[in-house]
Amino acid sequence: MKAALILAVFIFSTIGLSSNIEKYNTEFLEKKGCGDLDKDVLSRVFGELRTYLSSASYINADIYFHGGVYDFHEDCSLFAPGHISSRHEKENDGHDGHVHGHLPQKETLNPLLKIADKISITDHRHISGNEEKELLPWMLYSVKLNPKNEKAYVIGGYWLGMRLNKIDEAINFLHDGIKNNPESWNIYLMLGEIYLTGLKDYQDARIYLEKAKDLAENKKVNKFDMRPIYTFLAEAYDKTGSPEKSIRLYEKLLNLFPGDAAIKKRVDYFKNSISK
Amino acid sequence: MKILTIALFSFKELIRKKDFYVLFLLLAGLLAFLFSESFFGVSDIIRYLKDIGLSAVLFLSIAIALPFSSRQLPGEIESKTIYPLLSKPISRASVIIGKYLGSLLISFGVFTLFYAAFILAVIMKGGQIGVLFIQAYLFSLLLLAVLCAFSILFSIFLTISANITITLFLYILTYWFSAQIKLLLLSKDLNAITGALLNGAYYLIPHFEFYDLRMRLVHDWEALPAWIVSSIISYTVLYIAAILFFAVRIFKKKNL
Repeated sequence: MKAALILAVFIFSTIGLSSNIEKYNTEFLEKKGCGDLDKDVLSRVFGELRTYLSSASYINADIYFHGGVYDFHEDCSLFAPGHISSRHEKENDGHDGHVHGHLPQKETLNPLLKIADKISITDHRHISGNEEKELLPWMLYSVKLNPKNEKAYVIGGYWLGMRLNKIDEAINFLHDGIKNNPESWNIYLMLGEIYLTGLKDYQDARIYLEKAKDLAENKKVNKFDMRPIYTFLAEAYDKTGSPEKSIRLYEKLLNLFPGDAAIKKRVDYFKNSISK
Repeated sequence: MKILTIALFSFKELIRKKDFYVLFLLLAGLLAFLFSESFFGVSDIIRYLKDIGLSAVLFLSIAIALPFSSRQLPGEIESKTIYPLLSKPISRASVIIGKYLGSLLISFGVFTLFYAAFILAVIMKGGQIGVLFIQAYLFSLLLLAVLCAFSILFSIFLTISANITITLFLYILTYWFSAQIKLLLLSKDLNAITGALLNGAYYLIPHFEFYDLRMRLVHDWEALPAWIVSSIISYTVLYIAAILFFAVRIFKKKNL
């Protein structure tokens, strides 16, 4: 009884005080010139366990995305490239709100198995429209528990900025991600994408995408990851009056993907627009 | 009548103890916290509240139900109050059934209050209450009924702490195992002997996963058809009857 009371008092006082303690610690560390130290209270409380909890929170977002089912198709995951890039047509991708078929299973005579089968959710659907906001808590907790979780920042930024039209929140979230992961080309790319397609602020988009390109080239990331960086940056160059730089990027892309008709078409388009 | 008296006596015990009040405050605090949370300026996020809220309601109800039911018999035996009880014209079967009904009364009462607080939080947050909420309520009561039955059975020969531990382990392990066995039975080409053994095991183990409608409720899936609900109720009644039958048999043979 006493233990339960003490536990209750401890939990509530921790929740109540944590934000103030965090603020105090931040100010204190900044005064001492160690503002870049890991300051998050959750990080200190959970230690290394926080990375697992962060991953669990991230997976929970995927489960929510699939209406309570952990996805079994890799290409259908919340984290699959098709869901995190505006290059894919959002309205026509045939995914939003749809329900996949039942998982293939063997017929059985066991009545308990039949009941279990009827109870469990085996149909597969994606949340859409206003429901998409339901993913946000898990994204936020994922990065609160582990600020080094780059993927959670990228996916969270995508859902906030590109799907829920909360551009300012997405930008703040991604800036927070950059503060915690200054070498992450992924976060810079998402930030650039939001400036480019969401805000139509081509100048700032160019700055972030150039940073993403530099980081990605230094890390020698694979050509499939380079493709969106070059494509978006080329578009930003074009919009800011530097089509010759766009051609150079598309030519780089053509070296990576020789014979790719779409890239070739873009090179021709830019060459024609310059010659005119 | 005698069974009812024993059951009501158990209920009075809960009122005297303060565990319930503390846990109710804990739940109310958690629900208030979940209710007030907003993420990136969005305040009408409801699935998060339903998910964590319902899990907490179930967890806290089990936290009251299990210790309560597991100390029913050992408490009577240790304090030797079982002897005057058995000296009256009450059979040992009546003691077991009475203790079980007392545990049920407590578990159901506590869960109902916790669930009402949860429903209130969902409604205030703008959630819709449908048939699935009634089914989830009913199924959670069934889960508590099975757990209490196991706890009463184990309390005949285990200490209170061992009883709670074993019952919780049984709950968690069989939850996991039954899902694995189901996958094996449905998706693999098994030989006859393995298939028969797995089928037998599947009939024997308690299916706690039947009572878990959390994901269905959280993600607004459709309610279960009536035949599934009635099948699960029948399954639970039969399972509890079997557990209590063994409990009575063992208790009758026990030297007090």
